[in-house]
Amino acid sequence: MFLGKVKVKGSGLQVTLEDGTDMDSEANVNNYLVHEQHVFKVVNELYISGAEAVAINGQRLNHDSYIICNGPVITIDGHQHPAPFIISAIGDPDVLGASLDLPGGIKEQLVNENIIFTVEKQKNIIFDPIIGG
Amino acid sequence: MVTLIAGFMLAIQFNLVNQPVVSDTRDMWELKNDLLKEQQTQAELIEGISKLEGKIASYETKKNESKEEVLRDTLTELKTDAGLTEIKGNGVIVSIQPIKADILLGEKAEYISPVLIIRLINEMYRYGADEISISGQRYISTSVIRDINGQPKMDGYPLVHYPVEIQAITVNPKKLKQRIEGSELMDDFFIDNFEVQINVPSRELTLPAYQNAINVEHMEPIMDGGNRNVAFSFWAVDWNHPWFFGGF
Repeated sequence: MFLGKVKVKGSGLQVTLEDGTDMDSEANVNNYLVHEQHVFKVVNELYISGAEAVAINGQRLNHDSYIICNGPVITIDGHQHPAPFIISAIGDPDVLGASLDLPGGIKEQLVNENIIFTVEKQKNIIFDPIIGG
Repeated sequence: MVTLIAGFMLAIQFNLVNQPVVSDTRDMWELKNDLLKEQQTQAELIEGISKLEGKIASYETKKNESKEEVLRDTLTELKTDAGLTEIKGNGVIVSIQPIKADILLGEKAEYISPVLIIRLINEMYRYGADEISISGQRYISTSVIRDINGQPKMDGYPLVHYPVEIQAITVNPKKLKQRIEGSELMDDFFIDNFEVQINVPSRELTLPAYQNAINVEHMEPIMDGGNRNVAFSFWAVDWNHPWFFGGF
């Protein structure tokens, strides 16, 4: 369960990161895109707030997972995922939500970087096991 | 009768004509790419299946003789995967410390940015590291490196004593070393006034076990097809209980 070897379910939080849209024509497009450091930040904050399992676009993260931002997609352990990036975490939804929402917290930081940040509390999140695990 | 048959044929004909034509617009390259991706998934699945089948077989054969032993093996395996055991192997040591020239000039050494460490860990896993520990603490899936009150901390322990040593166990230490050396991260550390040394020691490295408890409260396993009654928390179970294995 902890290792991602079985399918698990639980309550938790779903965070969606979308590229910003309202850009003016002179602006650098890179300032409006979701980059790997944004994903790191969210994942990190979710774990420290007590998330027990985290998945990005449905792919469960492992201890030796790596995330690479390459162009239009984000690559997690060699599998590509397109935007928007949906980061879901199993844990106490209230605690997870509150910690992202802190003044000056992750939500504000990312919104300041023009990213569309949506949080949704969920009762029933299901994670598939990690393939080949 | 004839009308019936004729009508039937007409219906079939109509059905055939009405089949929508979905054209596949992928070109050769895309098709090849898709095929490759599917083949990779297939290979991974087959590998997983054969591993599990081997385990089932070993359960079957040993079931009568020593149930306990097989379960014990599985338990050790799971603990190893989770990072709860000490682990030995070949690997690299990455040590990070402030550039001395600056300290001599009287500048105060800053702390390492947690973002840099996170990126370094990410990069190391990307290039094949299997297990990592930082300053004697094992890095597991829920490990967090974060700026807390101005200090970079990992799972609550500050990373402020230099050199900060990251030990990684990997199959190919030389390759990992070269990859890290070639990474642009080295420049980023340098900009922050840190020097990074990467060594491949000839002796085996020993990574410590994760020292905190792992709690699972909010998730429960879903057993498809298996025994649905064994839905309980894997970590809350008495390790010696023969049932723990429903959770792996």
